[in-house]
Parts: sequence; structure tokens; C-alpha cells
Amino acid sequence: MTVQVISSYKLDNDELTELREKLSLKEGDTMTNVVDRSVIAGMIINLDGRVIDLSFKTQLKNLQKLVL
Amino acid sequence: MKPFDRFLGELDQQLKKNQINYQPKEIGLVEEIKDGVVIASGLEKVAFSEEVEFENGIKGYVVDLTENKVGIIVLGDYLTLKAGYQVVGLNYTLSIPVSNDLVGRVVDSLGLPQDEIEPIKTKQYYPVEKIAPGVVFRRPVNTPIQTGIKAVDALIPIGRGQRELIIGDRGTGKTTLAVDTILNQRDENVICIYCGIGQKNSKIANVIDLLKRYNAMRYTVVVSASASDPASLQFLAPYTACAIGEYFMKQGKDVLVVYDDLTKHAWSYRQISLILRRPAGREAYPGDIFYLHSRLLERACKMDEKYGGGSITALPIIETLEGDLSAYIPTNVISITDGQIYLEIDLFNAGIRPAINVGLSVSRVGGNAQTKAMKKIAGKLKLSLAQYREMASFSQFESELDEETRKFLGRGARLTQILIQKKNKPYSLAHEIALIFAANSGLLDSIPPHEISLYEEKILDILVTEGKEWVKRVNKSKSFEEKDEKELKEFISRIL
Repeated sequence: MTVQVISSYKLDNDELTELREKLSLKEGDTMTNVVDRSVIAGMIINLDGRVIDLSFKTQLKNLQKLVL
Repeated sequence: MKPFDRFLGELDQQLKKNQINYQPKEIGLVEEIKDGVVIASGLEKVAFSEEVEFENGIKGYVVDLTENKVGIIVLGDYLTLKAGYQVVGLNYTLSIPVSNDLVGRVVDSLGLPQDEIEPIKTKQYYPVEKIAPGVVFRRPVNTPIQTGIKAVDALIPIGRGQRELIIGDRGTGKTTLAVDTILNQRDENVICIYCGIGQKNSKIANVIDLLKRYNAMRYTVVVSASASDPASLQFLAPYTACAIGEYFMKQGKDVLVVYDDLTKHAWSYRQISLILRRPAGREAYPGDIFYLHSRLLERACKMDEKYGGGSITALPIIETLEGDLSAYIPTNVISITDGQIYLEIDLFNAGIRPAINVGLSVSRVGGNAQTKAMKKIAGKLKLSLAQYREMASFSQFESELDEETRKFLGRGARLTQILIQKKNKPYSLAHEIALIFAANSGLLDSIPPHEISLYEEKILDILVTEGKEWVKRVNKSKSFEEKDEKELKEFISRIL
């Protein structure tokens, strides 16, 4: 399984290891970290096409949908 | 409290409720956009028939699962989509919101209101595609649905739970027949659903206006996917109408659904299938064009009492070209339905309206779906008309024929005239029985055929003035006893 983590700042090794544990990743699974300032805060985790969206950008978008 | 403060308060509440969603979403990317169809990559776990949402809020419907790509039909304006947009799988099959508030409203194929009154409040969602009830859940059709049209109720009776096809060329009165049936359900506790597929907006507006004028909207739902709507919405419209019907059927009600028309439905499905590059068969229709209609029409049924006892009666409409009944789509749908009403352009032009060809039209439910009264009257009517048809070719030699033949020809001509009816004027059971009995019993034999319509008016008038009791009695008991016959004969003799 290939995991891609998109965050607004570069995650250090401790944070990455904690993530690996939380996601129950195995030895062979690769995790890459992409920095993208537009997520503002939080992160987007892409597990082989399945996406867990915890970014602040999406929360703002949802709020916009609510208001309009 | 100022409205703005209230708004802020509501917003605050909503924000508190909005939890962060830890569920992983299935996300794909739009690779290709064709007319109304999107090919997306990713979406590996998405299911067939699942609803998806594009980045800009437009919904889609998964119809094609290939090795690396997913084919999605766009339930909205595909021109607003761009390549590279994200597509999210919503994890449920396409469903429409249903509620009792749908009655009297005009909705589109996704159940959203189009008539600019208040939004429809719903708590339930019914799936658009559903497997038809099995044999155990059904029971045979035994109650009639009165169309108010003499020719249909007498010779091609329709029952609740039957599928009766209305087939004919353009301009032969198919929609009029269906709408008249809807108009006649005003006292019958039947929910009617009119589904317009690929129709002109002006035609749908006319139908809605007609229904409003005759106060039929209080028991009718209109589902509309007009010609300017994308092919995907035209493809879904009949299934949406059927889902709404199933919601009411579950409550034990009787439902009448009119699909106007399934020819345009087949065209929209052909368009989608060709864009998806599915193999084309006869007349460029895809291989599953039969299944398209059969799964829709099989959902019309009469449920057993144990499961509610409701029913859905389907009146699909098919438009033929040049009267060709043996084309691909007409033959398909004829083999699915429980009978057809065949409307002919020659009869229409000759002034026989409704232009029903009594010889080629059939109802496979027949007498089981007729009231006792009508069954009594109709049997003789069928025979007389059949004899007339056999001898019709001799009618030009009228002067050289014997008395017997001339009598049959005369009777047949008068019966044909009595079956003519103005549009949007459905008759009650008692009126139908009175008129058909008058013509078939020989009481009107002395009147020339072209004056029959005049005497029809006179009979109706006398029933309104002096025959009120008789009409009420026959309508209530739905039977035609000896004394009813005697009283009727007396009324008719007064006007002759």
C-alpha cells in the first residue's frame, strides 16, 4: 500500500512514525510526505485512492457550502 | 432578535454539529468528458449504480466499470466540469427523496422540485433502481381502473396493476388518452404520476395546465425530464416516477403511472450507450434495450393483501413511425405489457376520436378487470363490432345487400359513432353503460349515424335532469339489473 500525506508543513520523523502506527501500516508500505501550503492546517491522507480528508481547507469549503 | 443574529446563532449550532469526518472517501479524477458522460480514473472500490459527486457539487451515476476506468453519467450540466476534477464516491445507490408532499408538485428526475413553490420536506429515500416484487408478493388483477373513455372501458378494460401500452403515430391522441384517464381518477382515491420523457417544455406545461384546470393536480405528481434536459436525466425519469409510485404503493394505495413516452427514453439510453462505446445492435440500440424497459414495467404490479394490497398500473406510451408495429422498440414493449391500445392515424383523420383500432387492440386482463355492469353490456358490443368489421368492406354496396347484412352494417356504424368521445371529457360508469346500451340494444337504430352524437347529448341531458338517482345507483352498485335496464329504456324512449 502506498500512502501519501499532504500537509501544510514538512512533518518530522517522530510525527511520521506516529502516523504509521495509527494507520497500522506494515513493513512494505511506503509513506511519502508532500508539502502543500493550500491545505492551511491539518492533513490529507491518501491510501491508494481512498482519501481521509482532515484539512482545514475542506472544512472551510464545507462551511461555504452551508452558508450559501 | 435581529434576523442576522438569528442567522449567526443557527450557523453556530451547525458548526458545533459538523464533526470532522474520519471515514475515508473514495476519490477519483476526471479523465475524459464526453457529452453527458465522464470517464474517471481511481474510484477503485466504487460500486455499480452508486451515486458520485464532482468537485463542483454536481452529482453523477456510475454505469460502467472497466479495468482501470469508471464511466459516470452526469446528472446535471456536464459543461461545467473540467478534466482533473475530483470525483467522490458517496457510498449509496442513487435514491430520490419521497414523501406525501410530492402530490401536486412537479419534480425532475432527481426528485427536486421544479415548480418554484416551497422545497419538499422528506425523511425517506427510495432507490431509483429496484428489483420487481416476486411472484409470492403479487396477486392477480381484479379491480378495474376506469379510464372514462367508452371504447377502452368496454372493449379494452384496464385493471389496477396491469401494464397497458398506448401505441400509435404522432398526433393520434396517445397523451390525450392517458391524461383523460388521469382526469377520471378524481373520485377514485388513485395517485397519478405523469412522467414526461424528452417532451417539449410547452407540451408538459400544457398538460400541467390541463390538470390544474380540472383540479387533478391534488392527486397527481408530474415528473419531467424535457427535451432540453441531459440524456442522463431523461434516462432516469421513468425509474424515478416508478420509485415514487412504489412509495405510495407501499402505503396500500393504488397508483397510476403514465410514461410519455418510452420511445424517447430508448433514444436517450442509446445515446448514453453509444458514448460509452458499448457494442451497438439493431438500429444502433445497445444489447440491453429490452431489459431497460422490462425492468421498469415489471415493477408495476398488484400486491397481495398481506403486503399492503396496493398496486401500480402502468400506461407506457410508444410512438411508432408510419404505423409500423413491427419495429424494434414497439415489438419489445408489446411483448412486455399486458395488452395494447392501438391508435391509428386513418381513424383519427376520419373523425373517429379516440382513434382506437378495436380489432388490433387487446387487454390481456380483460373481463377480470371489468365491473359486472360493464361486462354485461360489453360482451354484445364486441360481437356487434366484430361482425361490422367483417362486413365493412361491403358497405359500399349497401343498396344491393340483404336485410340482415344491412342491419349489421347499420348497427356497427351507429356503435362506432357512439364510441366517439370529445377529449378531456371522461364519462362516469353509469353514463358509459347508458350510451352503449342505447346503441347496442337497437333503440337508436332509427336515427341516422351522423346524428348519433346529437342523441348522445340528449341522453346525457336527460340523465342529468331526471336520471340523477339512476346514475347514482348504477355508479354505486356497479351492476346493471333488470330494473335499471327498464328505467333506462324509459328515459331513452322519452327523447326519441
